[in-house]
Amino acid sequence: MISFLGVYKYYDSTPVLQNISFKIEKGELIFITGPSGAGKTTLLRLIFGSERPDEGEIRVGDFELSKIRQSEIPYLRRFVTFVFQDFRLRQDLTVYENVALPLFILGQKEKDIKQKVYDTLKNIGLRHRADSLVRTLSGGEQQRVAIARAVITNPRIILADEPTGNLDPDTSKEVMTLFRNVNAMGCTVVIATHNPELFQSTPYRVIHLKEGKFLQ
Amino acid sequence: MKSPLQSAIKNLWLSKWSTLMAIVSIGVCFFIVTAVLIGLYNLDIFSKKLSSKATIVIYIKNEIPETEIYQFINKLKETGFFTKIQYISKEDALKEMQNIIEPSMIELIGYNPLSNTVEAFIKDEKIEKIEEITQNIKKSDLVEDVYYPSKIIYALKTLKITLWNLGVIIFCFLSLAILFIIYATVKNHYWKKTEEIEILKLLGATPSYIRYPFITEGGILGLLGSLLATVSIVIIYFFLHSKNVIEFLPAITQLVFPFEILYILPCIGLLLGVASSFVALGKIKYQ
Repeated sequence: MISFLGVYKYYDSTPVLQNISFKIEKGELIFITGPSGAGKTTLLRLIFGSERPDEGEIRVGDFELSKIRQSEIPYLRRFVTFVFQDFRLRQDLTVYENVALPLFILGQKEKDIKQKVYDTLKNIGLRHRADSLVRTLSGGEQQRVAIARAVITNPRIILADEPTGNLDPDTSKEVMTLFRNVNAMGCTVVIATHNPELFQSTPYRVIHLKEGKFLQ
Repeated sequence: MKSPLQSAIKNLWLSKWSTLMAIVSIGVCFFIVTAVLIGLYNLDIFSKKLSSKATIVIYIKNEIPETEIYQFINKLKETGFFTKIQYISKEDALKEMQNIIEPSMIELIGYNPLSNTVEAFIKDEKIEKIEEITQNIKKSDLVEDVYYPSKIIYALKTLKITLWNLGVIIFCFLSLAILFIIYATVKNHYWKKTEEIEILKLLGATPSYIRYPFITEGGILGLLGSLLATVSIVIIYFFLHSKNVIEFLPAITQLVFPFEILYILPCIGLLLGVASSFVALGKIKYQ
């Protein structure tokens, strides 16, 4: 599903990722971990098409990311979605509108959208907040909305960058449960975190990064 | 969620004062451009009317018999340069002169001093070639002299070229101003929505999906500006054709109003709006 082969990435000639090679299989849940500045976010940004590798090859599904054209990126982002630490939600819109946004982009019918959004909100326990403005929600609730927005189009891959970074331990557990549920439905989930509590005593694979190098 | 049209209307409404200023500025530019074009259009009609009255008077040598003169007229007709050619014999010319000048004065001269003449009315589209045509006619052995209103035609030609060039400069300058106003307004609205657009890019929105509301916005600005100009011009036209104004300025009835502008102007406004907003958005890049 995702493969890195000898990938290097530099920022102003400073290496951020060095000779990274690995594969993530379809339906896997995987943690990318390491201290701040290890290159976790850069690695996710590479998978999401926000950055291009300086050397090496990255393949995500049928997309060859070292050669991807700008016009293909929107289609990559329908295949791979992203959950950000700072949520990146439209604060002026309601929960419903935020979750429905990717479906509107896909040009789906209003009736279908309504059904899907309410079903998704029900699954994440936010059906009752559908008409609330996002800015009135707590951090944990906003992250759940962000996850709902990421899963609503049934993507093949979900990337999450420090998804529990702004949340308390209880809310973090709830968010992780949501990711496990999404993964159980067959979606590949890649979570970047520096919080060992999230992946310790879990059966999932962990990739360790330090100073841009692969330590696994 | 809103359609591109609804989003565009919302964007314009959210900054209603800058939108209003933009529409009024575009309207003023369109008004001036249209007024200039109507002026040029009328000047063109006026100059054609004057030109159609331009006549070449050909004085025929005295000894030439009428049969040869008629053959000469037939040759002139074959050139296709003239709308009408008429022969005036020196006897007919004298009769006409007697209506103007005291007959006793002519009797004093004792003979008919006038020549046989041919009057040729030149076609509108050939007026530019009048000098060349005159020179060719002069070459004929039958012809004593040729007269045409060279100074009037030259003055008219110069005036037409000057005003036309001035009109083109005003047209280009104000068209650029319209493009710039729409460009700046749309660009400003685009910058204000940078965060929203970044979110759309992250969610897989295509460049066309992102562009639609802004292009619609530019189209609305251009359309409303041009409609404002159209309505103003129509109001002024009817005002100028009101009874009181006609009594004061009777020449105003000669003014020709091209009613095609009622639909051409809004179409141009819409096109300019769409084009300039497209330029304002530039290439949408994904990061």
